[in-house]
Formats: sequence, structure tokens, C-alpha cells
Amino acid sequence: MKKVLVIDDDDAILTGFEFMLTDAGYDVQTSIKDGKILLEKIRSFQPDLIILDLLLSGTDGRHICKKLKSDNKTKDIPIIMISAHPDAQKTALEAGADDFLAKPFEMDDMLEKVKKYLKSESWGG
Amino acid sequence: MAKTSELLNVQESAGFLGLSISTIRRWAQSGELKGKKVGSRGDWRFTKEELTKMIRIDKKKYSVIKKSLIASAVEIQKIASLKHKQLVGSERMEGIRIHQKEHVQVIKKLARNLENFEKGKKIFTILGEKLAKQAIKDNLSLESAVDGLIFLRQSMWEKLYQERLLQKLTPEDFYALSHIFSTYTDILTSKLAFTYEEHTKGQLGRQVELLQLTSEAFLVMDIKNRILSWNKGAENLYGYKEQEALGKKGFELLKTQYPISRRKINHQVRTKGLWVGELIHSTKKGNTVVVDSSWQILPSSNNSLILEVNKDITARKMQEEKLAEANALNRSILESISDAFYALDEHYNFTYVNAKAAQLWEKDRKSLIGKNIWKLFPQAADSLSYQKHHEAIRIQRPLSYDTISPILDNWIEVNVYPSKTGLSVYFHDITERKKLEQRKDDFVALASHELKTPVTSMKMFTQVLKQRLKKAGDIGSADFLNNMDKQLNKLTELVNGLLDVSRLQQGKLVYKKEEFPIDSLIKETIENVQIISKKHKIVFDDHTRKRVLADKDRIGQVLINLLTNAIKYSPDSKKILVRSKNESSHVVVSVQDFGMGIPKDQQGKIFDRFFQVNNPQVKTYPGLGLGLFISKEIIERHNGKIWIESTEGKGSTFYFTLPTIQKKVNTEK
Repeated sequence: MKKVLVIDDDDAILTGFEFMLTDAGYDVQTSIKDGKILLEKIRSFQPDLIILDLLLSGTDGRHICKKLKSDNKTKDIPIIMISAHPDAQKTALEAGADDFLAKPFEMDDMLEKVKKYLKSESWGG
Repeated sequence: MAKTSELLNVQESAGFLGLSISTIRRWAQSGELKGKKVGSRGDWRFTKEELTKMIRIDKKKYSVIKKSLIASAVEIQKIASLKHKQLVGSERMEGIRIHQKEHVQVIKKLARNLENFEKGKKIFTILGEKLAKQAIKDNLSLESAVDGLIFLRQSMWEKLYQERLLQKLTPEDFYALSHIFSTYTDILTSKLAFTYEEHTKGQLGRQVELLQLTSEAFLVMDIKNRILSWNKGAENLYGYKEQEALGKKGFELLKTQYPISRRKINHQVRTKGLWVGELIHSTKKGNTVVVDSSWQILPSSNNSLILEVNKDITARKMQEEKLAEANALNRSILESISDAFYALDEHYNFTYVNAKAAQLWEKDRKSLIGKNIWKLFPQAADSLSYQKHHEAIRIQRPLSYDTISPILDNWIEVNVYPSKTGLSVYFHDITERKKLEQRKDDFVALASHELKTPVTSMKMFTQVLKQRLKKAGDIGSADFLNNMDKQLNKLTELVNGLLDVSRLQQGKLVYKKEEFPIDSLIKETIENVQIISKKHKIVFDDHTRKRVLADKDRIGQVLINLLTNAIKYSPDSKKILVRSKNESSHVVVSVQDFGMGIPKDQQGKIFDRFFQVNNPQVKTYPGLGLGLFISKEIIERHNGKIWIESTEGKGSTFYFTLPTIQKKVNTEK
């Protein structure tokens, strides 16, 4: 079963992803944007895909994204960034994200993207 | 045989030849000079012919003088020029300089004709005419021309004296030479005077003709300012007939108000020949007229007549006064407004700075006037203001812009107005407004973010639930959740609309322009909208094959907005018509519905922010009224236009234009 890690600050959104992705047949884990917890989560969970919220003020998803993409252990994990902020797409792609989707999004659009990144790649079995 | 009256007595003969009486008597007694004895006392009488014969031309005697004069002609002319210059002053030297060539010729001709008096007189008559014409042509006064010749004669004589050539002559030869010199120069000067008089007469004749034609008032006065001549122009201007004016004193008749005393004016006319100034006169009816007046001594009037020419400038004066009043008013307004104001000439030099501007810049106003703005404030030389000032002059249209002042380091709003002579600029501090706008912008961004976050989770829950209910076979409940999802989408649109407006107003909306065929975007958008609304059939007619350079998402947003409006406001019709047409440098896209239409009085306002069509007879549709406002902003930012044509009850057509990409024409054959 492919594993998806979702990182966001909003509990309700994390719960929503849990329902949505579990129903779609993925193994889902969620995390808030705390550096320590996050790295621990990635090490133990070994996700095939990360969905990461970008927040331009406050805890910044950009830094997490850049960090993951510059670490040899994690740089191959695809990252889909999500944000409710206008003009976030450019920032997300500049930070190294593989894809972007604006909040709020349609469930079908999200599942399509997830499917695309988990089709061929297999990371950690 | 000569008549007795033409004969000269001894005394006259002595005068004629410039010799002493005893010389004449001696010559007559010795029979050298042939004469006639008349009267009881046997006085001698001589004919001019006989006397002229006595001017003995001795080639040897004068040959030295002749050589000397020809050799020194240029030098003599220079000495004469110097003397003349000392008399008239250097400002009138031009006339003397022009005639130096002619004067050298006079000297040489005189030298060559010392021995042939009769021929010489004829030559000098012709020369005199030639000189006079030249002098008139060069605008030389008669006095100046005659003076020039007198100085020339003097200088020749002096030269001969210095060379001790005169001293070697016998008294008779000396007198004879003197006679030749004075005769030749007299011929020249009298010819000058005669030609000048002829010329002046001609001019006066033309002047008189002009006097009759002109609308200006011409008055001739004597030195006591009594009116001697009064033309039609004067009659028209002052209302007095010629017979009423003649003989009256001008200043009494016209109640003249002088800018300086009359005595001073008369004095100036007498000494300088001319006075020019403004006078105020009263007409016969008692009206006041302002005139441009010029007084001059009438030529050839022996300095006794003054010509006064008056031109009515009352209307101009009144305009000037009104203008001055208006200027004073403008100045007082400019000084009292709270905006800073300055005016620049075409070289960007300050011509005016109001108190507020000087205060903001902390500069003394006097130190600014006449200075170049970019030199005075070098930090502004590569600023937005520099660009905009130049642009306004180039396009000759007013410009308005917000900028952080490079001089004050504050946000300012600047209005630049080009004029024929430069620029008028006013500006004021908008730092507070900008702070407020920033806060509003931050708030809107935050609010939209905060609103979207719960919408995001609600949409996820709704869609997961809908999916689960579908699987469980509860289609009815799934439909309920479908409606809920649609409402959540509306909520998202509203939030996005607010955000767009906030960003549009601050010019913060970023356009990602790309090249694409407009038809494919229209087709794509129609397909998407058609999915939502099954009731209307959206028809795409009249394709253009043009490509545009635009932000595809934003133009798509405009199309969606126009299409959803068309659907919303034509609930009872079934068709929506979309067209794209090609015009010279742009495409025109139109969206036509067959719905309720928009009343004429509201058509101008539909692109305003928060505007909604207000028609009590038809059902109103809730919304924030932002769609068309945003559409207009987007189209205008693409250098396009958007407008509506609508008839109430028949429907509306919305049009927008976008510039097309002009393909390079292949000029090769």
C-alpha cells in the first residue's frame, strides 16, 4: 500500500485528508509543521508522497520543502504543495515542490495528482 | 553774348574764383582776363566763362598733388572716418564703414580731375547722385552723408598741407586748387541734399496715403501740442470731427493722462526724435480709451511739428487686467491649498513653487526658482517621477501616479499637467492612506486565507461523504451533499472576488502573459460552463484565427463571468451567442443573451464596483457585484476595452477587445 504523509496546521484539513486518502486506498499519516516531529515521522513512516501546506507567514512550508529536497534521503519523495494564499503556485514550485494545488480544491483533482505521482514510483515498498 | 545780368563784378568774380579783388583787377588791367567796362566809373564786369578760363590748369603744378592724393586715398579716408566717428559717436559707425569704398573713389576721382574742371564737374554730378542713392538705401541720414564728405575734403586738404605741397603753390594756384576742391565737394553735397529732398517728398506722399487708410489715429501737432492735422482714424477713435479738433490743444481735448510729465515727453521728442508710451484719453462720449502712443518729429518740418500716432489697446488692456486678476486669484488658491504645487518650464526649471512644496522640501522658495529640478534633486533623476514628467510632456496629456518620493521618502500622489510652456505638478502625502491600504490588503489576504481553510476541509468532508453515500446506494443524500459542495464553491468565488478587487486596486494582480489562439480559450471555457448549465445552449459563431498575448487564466475568468452573467440574467431564454471577430489590430469577443436586458440609465454603471442591476420588476440575483468590475480591470490591463449594448426586455451583448499579435509580413517576393 502506497504511503502518503500530509503536513498542515489545520486539524480539520488533516482529518479530511485522512478520510479521503484512506477511502482511496492509501496508507495515510498526518503531521503538523513541527521540524522534530516531522523528521521523526518521515524516518519511521517512509512516505511515497508528501502533501505539504505552504503558509507564507508563520511556520513556513517553503523551508520544509527546501530542506527535504536538499536531503539525499528525502529528495526523491514527490511533494505536492497546497495553499489558500494567492500567487502561491510560483512560490511553491520555486521552493522545489513537484506540484501545486490551490485550496479549496476538488477531491477528484487531488486524487488524480496523488495517483499520478504514485503510479510508477515505489519507495520503501 | 552774355546778358549784363549774368555778368559778375570784380567783387563777385573774386568770390567766384576764391581769389582776392586785387588779383582780379591786376589780371583785368594786364588784359590777361577779358572783361567789359560798364557804368560811369568804368567798373569791370566778367562772364563766368572768362573767369573759369582763368583757373589755370598747370599739369606740372598739380601732378605732384594728384599723385599724392591717389597714393594716400585710403589713408585719407581713414582719417576722415575717425573725425566723423568722433562727431557722431561709434554707434552710428556702420554708415561710415559702408561708404569707405565710395569715399576712396571720391578722392581718386577728384585727384584725376584736378586738371579738367569742366569734365570734373560733370563726373561729380553723376557721382553725387550715385552716393545719395546709396546713402538713402543704407538708411543714412542726410546730415551724416554730408558730414562724411566735408570731413573727407578736410582730410584731403590737411594731408596736402602736411606733405607741404600746398605751401609750394603760388597764391593764385592755391586759390584755384581750393576752388576746384570746394566746387567738386559742393556738387556732391548739393546733389545729396537734392536727392534726399526728392526722396523725402515721395515718402511723405506715401505716408499721407497711408494716413488715410489706417485705422490708427494720426495727429500732427506743433511744439505747443496744438492739433494741426486729425485723420479719420482719430475721428473714429475719439468721436471728434476734424473741425472740432483742429487748433485745440491735444491734451485738453482728450483729457490726456500721461505716464510722465508732458514737458518730459516734449523734451524727449525734441532731443531724441521719438517718444513711445501708453496714454489714457477721453473720447467725446466720455469713454476712456487706452492707447499705445508714439510721438516723433516730422521729417523736414524743421523740428517744429510732432506726429502723434495712437493705437487703441483698451480691449487688450482689459484682457491683461482680467488675466492679472485671474493670475492673482490662481496664486492665492495655489498658496492656500494643502497640496504641494510647482510649475516647471520646458527645460524643467522651476517657475513657481507654492508655500506647501517649499515647506515639505525644507527649501527657501527663492532658491528654487529658475533652477533645474533634476539638478536640485539629483536623487529624483532616475525615479518614476522623472519618467512620468517626461512622459507627460511627450504625450501632452495629464498623468497621475503614486510613488515613494525620492526627495521626501514618503508615499505621495502626484498629478502632472503638461502645458505649452512646461508642466504644472501638484502632489500630496499619502503615507497614511498607503499604510491603511497595506493594512486592508493584509487583512483581506489573511481573511481570505482564513475563510478558505474551513471551506477546504468542509469540501473534503462533503465530497468523501458523498462518495461513501453513493457507494452505499443512498443517491438522495449524495445529491444533498452535491448541493452543499456547490454552495461551498460559491463561497470560494466570493472570497476570491474580494481578494481580486483588493489586489486590483493596488495594481498587485500579476498577469502571466502567454501567446495563445483566442478561439481555443473560448471553446474550452464554453465547454466548462456548459457542464454546469444544461438549460442554455451556448453557441460559438464567427471564429477568428488570431493569437493574443494575454493571461489565459484571467481572460478565462472574464469569459466565465460574462457567460455566467448571461445565464443568470436570461432565465427564460435558451440560447447564448458567443462571437469572435477580427478587427485591424485586435479581436472583438462578444457574449449575447436574450434576457431581461439592462435599463439605459444603469448601463454606464454596471462596471462599477459593488454595482448591481436594480430593477424591481425582475428577480434580483445575489452576489457582491464584483464580476464586471474585475473583468473591466483585467481587460484594461491587457490594453483592451469592454462595453455593453443592451435593450431592456430584449437582452444584452457584452463586448471586449484584446490586441492581436501582428505577424511579420513576408516582404520577399
